Amino acid sequence: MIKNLIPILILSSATLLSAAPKVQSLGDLKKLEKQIQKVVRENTDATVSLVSPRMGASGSGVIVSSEGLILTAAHVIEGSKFMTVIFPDGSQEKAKVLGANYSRDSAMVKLVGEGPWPYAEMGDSKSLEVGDFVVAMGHPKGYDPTRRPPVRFGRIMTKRELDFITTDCTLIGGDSGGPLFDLRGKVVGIHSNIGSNRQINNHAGLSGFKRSWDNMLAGKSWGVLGGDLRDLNRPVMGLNLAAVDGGLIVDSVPERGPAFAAGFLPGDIVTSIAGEKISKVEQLTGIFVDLTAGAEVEVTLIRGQKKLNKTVKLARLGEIYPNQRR
Amino acid sequence: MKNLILSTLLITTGLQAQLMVDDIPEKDRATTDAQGARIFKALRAVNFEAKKVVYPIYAGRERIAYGISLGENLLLTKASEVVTERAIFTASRENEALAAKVIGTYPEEDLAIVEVAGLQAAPVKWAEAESLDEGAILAAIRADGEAQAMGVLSVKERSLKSEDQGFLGIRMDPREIGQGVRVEHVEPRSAAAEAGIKVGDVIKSIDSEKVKGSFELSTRLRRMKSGDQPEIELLRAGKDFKVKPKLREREIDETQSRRLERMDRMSGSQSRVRGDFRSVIQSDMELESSHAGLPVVDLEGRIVGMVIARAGRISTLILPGDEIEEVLRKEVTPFVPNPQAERRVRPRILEGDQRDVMSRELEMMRRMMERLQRRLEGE
Repeated sequence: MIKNLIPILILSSATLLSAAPKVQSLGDLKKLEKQIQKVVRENTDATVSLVSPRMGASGSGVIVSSEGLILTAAHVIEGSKFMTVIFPDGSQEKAKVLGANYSRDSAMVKLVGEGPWPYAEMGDSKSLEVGDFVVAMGHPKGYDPTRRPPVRFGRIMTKRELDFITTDCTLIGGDSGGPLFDLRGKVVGIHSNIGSNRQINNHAGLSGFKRSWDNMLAGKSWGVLGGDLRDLNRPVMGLNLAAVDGGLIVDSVPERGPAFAAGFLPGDIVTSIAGEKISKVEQLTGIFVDLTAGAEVEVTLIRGQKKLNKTVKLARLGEIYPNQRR
Repeated sequence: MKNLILSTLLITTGLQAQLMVDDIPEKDRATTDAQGARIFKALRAVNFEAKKVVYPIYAGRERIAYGISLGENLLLTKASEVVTERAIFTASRENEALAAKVIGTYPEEDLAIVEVAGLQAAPVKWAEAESLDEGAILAAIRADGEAQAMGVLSVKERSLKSEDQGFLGIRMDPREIGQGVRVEHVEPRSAAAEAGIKVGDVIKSIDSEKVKGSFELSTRLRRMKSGDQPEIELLRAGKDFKVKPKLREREIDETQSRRLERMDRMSGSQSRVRGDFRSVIQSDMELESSHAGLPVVDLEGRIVGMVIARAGRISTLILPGDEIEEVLRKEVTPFVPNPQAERRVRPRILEGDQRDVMSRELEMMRRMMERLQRRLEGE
């Protein structure tokens, strides 16, 4: 019942108070132009090129703190411990690779020097709506001393799973890891990949980035590009679940898994995991994508008439099914 | 001789399509389409000067480019799109076909002057593009007054010419960051060789400014011109000394990795002539190669330039108005059509999905051919 009401509520409020700027006149366009130019002015210096001297690959990144923390795409840092950072003015600095969540194509790198460094402020991608204007920058085809990072303008075309966003800001190789800004000049996404259609340019949303924050900052690397469910390092509870009214019902509990050790039984109904209410199996991907094996999660379940809370220490998929191969 | 100064190791990473759905849901498409329509309607307020001076150029039944009126029955267009055609014509405002003839070219800028008897169009009034900042909104305007595309100024006015970048002729160790850059290789007969720079030398500074690594040094050099003589400070066997090499022209390496090439190719048509311009601005407006010659306006309605090339997925190149005025003051090279010139085969115009499907098939065929080739070679 309530489920059916929610979209209508959003739709009617969207038509009345949509945050997405509506362009109806030349005056609106001029206002928009001023906003875009301000975003570019304030953030060009923080938009850097990242080169892996060992691999010879180059991507982009954005500095988000005066201490020199850089956000980039996981596939940009793949296989590197250190990267060379090239600023738009051509000066170069050394940076250390921290951690990465490959499933979100998100990674962190930190400038070795003390700074203070020019930086962009962070926003969030959750609140973005289809049609919102955005500005993309980066170093397409690698660092080029004849130009500053090229500016691309566009809109949110659609939102996807795991906080990925699609825009029509055209991107190409070398842009990977570069920043997507909202019109307030805040970083809302990191360039990830493209489709053949020019309107398909995908960015890892910053809200997803934030959920993996602490693990990345601590130097952990996990996940698989494109999100492979057969990844043997994927953290799991060791529960086979199916959707029912009010949650997910436990179908079976493999004996080697942590859920077995925690005392889960077939027939239990899981209602929330790590503080999030659960109604669909697909939601699990969104929760576990930010966690690594060894992390503990709180699980609420209903057994008969009783509500129980359990703590499960996540294990690698490969520990539960040791004989499977990728 | 390849780009030795910037490490030849450089491969540009990524953006390979993962397991992402390659389309946009119907509902979201409707939202963005409606928004797009409103924006293009608002853009009509800036078309007034441009729509008066732009004319389509046809060959057979196909529009191949646009031309901008210079007055006196002359149109300015992109040379490489029209000179290979046996017969071209334009359409008057009453939609009558008018025969057109290329009478001269400016080969360096890839511009052509086309004569159209009876055109009687007012001449364009060019505006400068230098005052435009990155992020300025630009639109390419058609004869019907509609914008063919809207975009922003991505990169300010710059030269893409090879002689506008200095070339020393050394290869450096890209991994080194610290005091100076170690020379790994010296190209024979290059500026570096002439000045006596040797493998193992450490370059410490250029024009008294210290360099921390290969990227800093290559940036400094590429921002100079051929013929410039910077003072380079070297360290060899514990001793400092200075040289003043006379920089050469940097041979711009147009070949890019196959991955990058594929990304550009799958994203629409590209102009055959799309580099080596003396002064261009770059925009992200999405056009096809047959849109060359369209006038580009800013939000004041000023004609700040002409589309000169579609140069890949993210780039449309525009010749600034003041640059065009300067070129037109120079002497035009008379054009003599080659009677043997065959009408060039033009690709069919493909719409949306068709293009995606065909490029995917092409990629599959390419892979199959590679496999066959390997098998033939007995690998």
